[in-house]
Amino acid sequence: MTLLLPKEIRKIGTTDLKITWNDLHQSLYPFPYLRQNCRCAFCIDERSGKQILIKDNVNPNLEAFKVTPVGQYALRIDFSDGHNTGLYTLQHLRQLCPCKECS
Amino acid sequence: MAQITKEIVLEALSSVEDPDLHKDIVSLGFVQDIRICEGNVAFEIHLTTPACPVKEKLESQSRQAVLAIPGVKEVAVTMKSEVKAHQGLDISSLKRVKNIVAVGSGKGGVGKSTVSANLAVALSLEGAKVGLLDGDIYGPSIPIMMGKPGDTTLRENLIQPKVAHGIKFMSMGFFAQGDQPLIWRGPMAHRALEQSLADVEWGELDYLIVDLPPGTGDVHLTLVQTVSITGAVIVSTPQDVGLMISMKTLRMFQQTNVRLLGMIENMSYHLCSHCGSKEEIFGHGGAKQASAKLEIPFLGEIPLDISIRIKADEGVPAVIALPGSPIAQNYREIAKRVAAQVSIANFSAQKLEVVEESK
Repeated sequence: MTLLLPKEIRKIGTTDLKITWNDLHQSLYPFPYLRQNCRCAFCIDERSGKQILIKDNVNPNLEAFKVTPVGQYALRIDFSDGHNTGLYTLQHLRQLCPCKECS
Repeated sequence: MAQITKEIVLEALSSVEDPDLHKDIVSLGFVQDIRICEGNVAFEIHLTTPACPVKEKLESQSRQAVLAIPGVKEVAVTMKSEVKAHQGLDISSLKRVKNIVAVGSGKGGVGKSTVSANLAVALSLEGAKVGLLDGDIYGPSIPIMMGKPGDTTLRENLIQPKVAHGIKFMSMGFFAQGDQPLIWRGPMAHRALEQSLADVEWGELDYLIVDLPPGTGDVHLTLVQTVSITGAVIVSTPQDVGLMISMKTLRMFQQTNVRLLGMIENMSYHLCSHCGSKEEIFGHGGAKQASAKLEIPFLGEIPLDISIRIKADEGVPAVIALPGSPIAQNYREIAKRVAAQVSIANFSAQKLEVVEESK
């Protein structure tokens, strides 16, 4: 199993996250979009998998203060609404790529 | 006769290839400090681990390559080693710890702690600086195996690791009082592991071996989330049931993007101490087959031998208690293979890093 890994992770200002993958694919994620897709236990029910967070309630101008690597497999994002419990695994991030090709 | 130059020597040495890294020793930067004085050539080869399994081979090949240059009469090769650091260790007291290697298993009782202790001591016998962290909160056994139970001391707010048989070690068991069990919820285990990593004066280490509790729990998660570990070694018995469960631990490491350095088969067979006949109590070769299927390195096998257990209980790992025995040989071969895999991992490792770009 070869994992898709990022070649480069850039936090662009406080608005976007840009990942260049080792297959040279580029993903650009606006932070409000990542906040909407948070998979932490506050946002998605652990047992049923039911969506708790109402995606439409996410402020479209939401920013992020900090992006920190977690071990070697995920990123933690400190959003401007104080939320920081979600771990975005590299695999999940690749699935979330919002570009036309991927979605 | 043509003058012997550095370039000629380097060109000759570029024919020598490291069999593990698949590159020649010149482009790997192993060759250092070339000195030429008429027909005498001296140089150093800096290896990535003192436990290099191909040390002798590289030395003789380099010597032959340089001797083949016309005009060279004598060659002096000095073998040195410098363990390359895995990138991404960020906790300050771990700054000088170059590589963290986790030892895990799917279930308990496969001899993980015995293997960890012997592996750590075997690496130090090769000349590496080694630390051993007993992360098994439920059954901390490393202090007994290393022959040094009892409390640890504090100096300048840092826990002093114990020193025995050439290595430094620390046990989560030291957090417990005497024979009291550790009855902890997840967050306690999490904090204790963080402390064992960050609040211990490890000093400079080439390898820190972390003996994990069985399975996949809080300690494992904390380890893969707080530090960037170089890789993991899985210990398994040959038995299928054992392997099925080992697979889960293996998958956890894969999911958290931790490199698998390989698998060790423990209790591979039993040599009868009376008649010497070989009995395969748990079957044989299961781990080798599984590692081939998963395309991860197979690091070796250890027999079920009463002397390993006796020496462990006496507080002296078999690898030094019984030098020259086949068991010690096995362990030392395995240690060299682990060291080689760590070097390979460091050459291909990528660090997860976030670049801040202002807009």
